[in-house]
Amino acid sequence: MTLSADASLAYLQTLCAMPDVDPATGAVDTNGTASKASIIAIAQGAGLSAGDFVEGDPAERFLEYAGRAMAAWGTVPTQAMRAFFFALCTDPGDVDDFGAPDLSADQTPRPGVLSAFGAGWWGTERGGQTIATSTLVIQNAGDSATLPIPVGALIFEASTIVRSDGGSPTYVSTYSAAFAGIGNTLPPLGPNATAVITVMAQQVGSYASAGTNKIDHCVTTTYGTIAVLSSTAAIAQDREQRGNFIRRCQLAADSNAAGGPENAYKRACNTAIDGAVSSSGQPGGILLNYLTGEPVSILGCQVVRSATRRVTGYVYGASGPVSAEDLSSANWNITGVPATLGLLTGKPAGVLPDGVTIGPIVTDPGTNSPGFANAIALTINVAFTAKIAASKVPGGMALGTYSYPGTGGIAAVFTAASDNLGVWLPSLGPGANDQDATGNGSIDTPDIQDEIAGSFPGLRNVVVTTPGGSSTAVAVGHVAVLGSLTGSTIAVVAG
Amino acid sequence: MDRSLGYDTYVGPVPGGGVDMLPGGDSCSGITLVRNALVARSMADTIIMAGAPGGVRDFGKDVRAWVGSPVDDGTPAARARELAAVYARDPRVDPGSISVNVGTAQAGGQYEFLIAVTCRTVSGQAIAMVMGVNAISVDILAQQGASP
Repeated sequence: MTLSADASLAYLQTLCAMPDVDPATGAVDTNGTASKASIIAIAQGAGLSAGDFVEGDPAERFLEYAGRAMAAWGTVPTQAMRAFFFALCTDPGDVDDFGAPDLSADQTPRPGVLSAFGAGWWGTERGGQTIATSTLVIQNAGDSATLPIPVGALIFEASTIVRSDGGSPTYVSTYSAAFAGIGNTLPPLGPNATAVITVMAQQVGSYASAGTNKIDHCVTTTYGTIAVLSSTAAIAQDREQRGNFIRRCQLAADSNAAGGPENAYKRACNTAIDGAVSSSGQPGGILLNYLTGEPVSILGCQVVRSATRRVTGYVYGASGPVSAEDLSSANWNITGVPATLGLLTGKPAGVLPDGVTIGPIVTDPGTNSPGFANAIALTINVAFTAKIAASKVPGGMALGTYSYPGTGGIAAVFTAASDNLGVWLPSLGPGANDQDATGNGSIDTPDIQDEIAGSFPGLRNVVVTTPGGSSTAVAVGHVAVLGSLTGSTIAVVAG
Repeated sequence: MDRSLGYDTYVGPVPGGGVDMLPGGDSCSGITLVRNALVARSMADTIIMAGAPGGVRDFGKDVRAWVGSPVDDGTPAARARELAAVYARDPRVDPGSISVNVGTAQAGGQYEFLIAVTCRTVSGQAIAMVMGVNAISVDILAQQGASP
């Protein structure tokens, strides 16, 4: 008998749940129920009346503690096994490929087993959440001088930005040269006097990202009436998606190959090899944007080679094309030209071999040298018909046929399909599937149908009417992005 | 050694106050075991229990929580009835024999109030003891019968 790779991993996933599985529910037992039952069974097998303890007596308590200790230790081999396979490996806050959540008690997103696996075995560092910072010009808008203000005593708000939880991002003042008063305080500001201070976000990640002049309000009134005249952009990143990180890890083995095989270019377009250019000073981190110092938003690149020692490539991100600065950063890391570029002062990967020319662009405005080009967005509008049972629609729905975008529960179904296609189409990369030697490929219509059907439980009988035909051509350098679902209909049927 | 009431590691009052194992890891049996069980039930409302709903099970009454709480004329008698019901959960205690008295006066400056318990085991031995309660511990101050 042979097992497929997927079947092997599924089997391993079952083994990983041992040894403490609750016999009643089959769930992984974290309270020691199964371990305690095993100990009692062993004792009874040896002729001891282990089931007759008086609750609370010392021996009964020891048995309870032993069961719990075994259950706690049972997670150690479980995590150790998961750590050797990308499909099972997670950081806190992640879900593995089989839908099993990370086993940490605290699921706050942070480096865990997967990050350690990637850094230790693959020399690749997971992009972490960053904290936004900004520089503010503040002014005393009151009639009298402000009091001396300690570091960290002023709270600011981007009041026009409202997040999904109803809150606005807030920022706390940090130490800067302006705090030159007694005891590192901001000296009193007379009426209308201004000062330049720095702040950092109180919320981690993109929650607190704010554009120029968006930090507009000083919440603290203890020290006087303070107005915000201007603020620089505060940009922070969320943690790198688990799937993206795993893809970068899997390219690690190709990154040192001489001669510049495809995967070396693909890895170099978004992964630094030197600490001075990675997101946290570690080799294998995400390449930084040479102007902003933020991690580049590059998913990968299409590489087309020729028999004439010329390589051409197209860099793409989650929205199709990437920013011009991200592209220049990637070209710098790939070609190693120029020696330093803006904030990128470390050692580039330099995977382009001597004697090989790179294209298609002749002069990248950032590097002033030849390099890969930006991917070109190919907008694909999708229209489809599908069926769903009324019981599968959130909140229920009257029978009938509903057009995109729909209302109520059916709108949620359309949104799920739209979100799924919006991520899936660009993830195919430039040229998409079934590429020929020159990088021209296509997207098969049945694949679009499968993606739509898989985007919401119970959605079935999906027939894509737009685009027509059996497949859609995607030319070299072009990356598919979703246009709209206008014209789509879903029939809610009995059931 | 009387093993009719069980045989177990000694975990109970220790010289100097508090509840612990003895330095030599001694075992105990008979009414000493039952007496220690009553002290344990006087120090915990619940115990963790694998397989129980929520992972815990009703066990006893932590009388230390009573220290500093308001008291009226009926409180001591109500607490005595509650403790009698708690002690009756031990299958080695004859439920009909339990008599509990909860005091209100301080004792010796170290204990906020006293609890006197008399009962019989299901095999007929008499247990009589007085426990002193403060916010930290429940100690046996006087007892009738075998000691560890």
